[in-house]
Amino acid sequence: MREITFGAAVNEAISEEMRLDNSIIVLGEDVAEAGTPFKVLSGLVEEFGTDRVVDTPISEPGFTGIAVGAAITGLRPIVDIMFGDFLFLIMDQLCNQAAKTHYMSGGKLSVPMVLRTNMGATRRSAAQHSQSLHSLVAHIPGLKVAMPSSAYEAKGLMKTAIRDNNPVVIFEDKLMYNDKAEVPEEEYLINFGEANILHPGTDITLIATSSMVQQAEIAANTLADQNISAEVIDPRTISPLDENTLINSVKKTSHAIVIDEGHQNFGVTAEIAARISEKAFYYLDAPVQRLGAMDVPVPFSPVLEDLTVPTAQQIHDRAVMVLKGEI
Amino acid sequence: MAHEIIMPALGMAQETGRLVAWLKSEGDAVKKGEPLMEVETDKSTMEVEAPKDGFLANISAAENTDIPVGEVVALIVENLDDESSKIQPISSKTIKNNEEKEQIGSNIETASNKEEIFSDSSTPSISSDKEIIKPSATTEGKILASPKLRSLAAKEQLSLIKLRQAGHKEPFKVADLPALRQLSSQSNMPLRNNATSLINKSSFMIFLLEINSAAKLEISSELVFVSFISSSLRLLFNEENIGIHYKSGSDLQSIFYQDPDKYQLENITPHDADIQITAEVCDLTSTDLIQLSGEINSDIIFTISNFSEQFLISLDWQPNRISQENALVLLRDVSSRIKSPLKQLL
Repeated sequence: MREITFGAAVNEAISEEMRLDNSIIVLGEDVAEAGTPFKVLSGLVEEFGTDRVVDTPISEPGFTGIAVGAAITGLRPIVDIMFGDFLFLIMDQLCNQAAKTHYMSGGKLSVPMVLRTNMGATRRSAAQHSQSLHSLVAHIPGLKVAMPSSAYEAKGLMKTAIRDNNPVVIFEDKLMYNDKAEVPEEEYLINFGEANILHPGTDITLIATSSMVQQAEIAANTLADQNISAEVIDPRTISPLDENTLINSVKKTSHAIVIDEGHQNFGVTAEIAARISEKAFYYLDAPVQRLGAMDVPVPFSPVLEDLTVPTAQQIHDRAVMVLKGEI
Repeated sequence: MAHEIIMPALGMAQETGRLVAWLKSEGDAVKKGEPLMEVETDKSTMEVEAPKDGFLANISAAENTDIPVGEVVALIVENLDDESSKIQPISSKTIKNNEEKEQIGSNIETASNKEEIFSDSSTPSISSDKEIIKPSATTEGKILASPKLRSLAAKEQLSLIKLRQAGHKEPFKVADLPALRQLSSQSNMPLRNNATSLINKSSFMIFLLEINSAAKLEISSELVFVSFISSSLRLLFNEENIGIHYKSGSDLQSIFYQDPDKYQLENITPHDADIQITAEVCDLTSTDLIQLSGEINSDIIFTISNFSEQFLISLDWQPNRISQENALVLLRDVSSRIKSPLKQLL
């Protein structure tokens, strides 16, 4: 099968959907002429024109508000927030307006909007351009949150997001844009709320999101060298969350580590660990472990920055400790 | 020490930057913060400043050329004849996405680098080690065991205390289940705790002679023992029924008594074996033996034997039946009754 990059997969998903549905528009900073700073949307403006691929002024609250209004009145906008860190600027448009309009209008209005943004540290982009803020969004009822972990996932989840009638926020790890994976040429969708078991195992469950899925897979392979059978699960969407698959896996393995690049405090790792404790408590043979980003602003120093993010080695070591009964 | 000047990354997906112009010539003295060269990206043009005082040397990039991001274009040296200025600029580490990602992808290498950096730390990373809760070994209080082991043990009606008594490390996990099953299946588990007292038996012997000759009875030491022990047990446990399994002689012949302390000594009669046993009494006073282990079926066992002109009264107990403190109270009570039997009847 052909291999394409994560960025190209996102591009393909958006162009395919735009060809199918004229109501889809893209708007954001540098999305048209520049094709975004990561070049993910290159070529879109040439194909669909500046009416459908709109470069906006540098005002995230402004153009997100426009997108919410456009979505309510019939378009299907894809909003590009250049860095996940800028989500703080659009909290009202996203959390108070987009998330609640369907509910507060008694179901009469809907906001079929996709908000693409990114996450992920270790790019030497410092504290205001390196955050992974997906758990903030997942906290709000009415918003769906997808976290693609490969080019294949990115395309399938993006197409599903565009067709969803609810506001969906997609977090793309900015370090994965050039990672290649097999992506079929024929159309496919990936359903929200269906976790993916990448690597079946029996001894310990590694639940990982986004780029941490790669790290968990590396760890699963090094653990296999020590005859430890790790099951790697990618939830794909954290809202909705496929609790059943996670719980059933932990019931089988009795051990779990949750790995996510968001801050560990009050984050995805906390939420999933709590659900396991609620629903699989009597099956646990060791405390559920969490590996999240260190609870500090992301340092600019490369040496320090690398220390803040979970690694395959850390996952491996923690799994061994859990299974040896050292925790 | 020479300082490398590299083509900076000014855009997000920038592969190269155009060197528009050198603002200083090779050999020029430069001050920190002075503009060195002009660089153009698809977004903007900007000046690159000198990172430190020194002389500009080794200019390796021409004006109006595209230079890969991260490539060394010149050096700042402390003085012009500095040897290091002759060093060929090495292809420096760039911040290109691909290379970076590959490094992160095979993170085991990255982690080992970290170990070198933090060589004084035994863990590969300082990141989340503070959050690892290591269990502390305890031998008292609540038993530490995983939820899964607890539910499995409860299903099989196994008591986790057996693992603690056998000295297994807590918290207990499913891996300890086979050991727990084995410990629980040992029906004749040896009693672990023992205390022994030595008392003068002369008062007891005189007492026995006197009541038998005065009242023309034939009361054996057996009846006195079981009666006294039954009284002591009732005092401690405050239970309705006290059952005594009495064994005597070197063949440990069994006789059962139910509540013998409730009867006059001469009226005590054996009971059927179907009673609930509170304690065993192993009477070796008719033999030369001091200790004899037979099949052990109860949590409290008294062994009474001769030791020259004294009785040796030994008490074995299961710690989950009575505490050591209570066991000693029990032994003291039984010993004092046998030592001064008259006092008990008055």
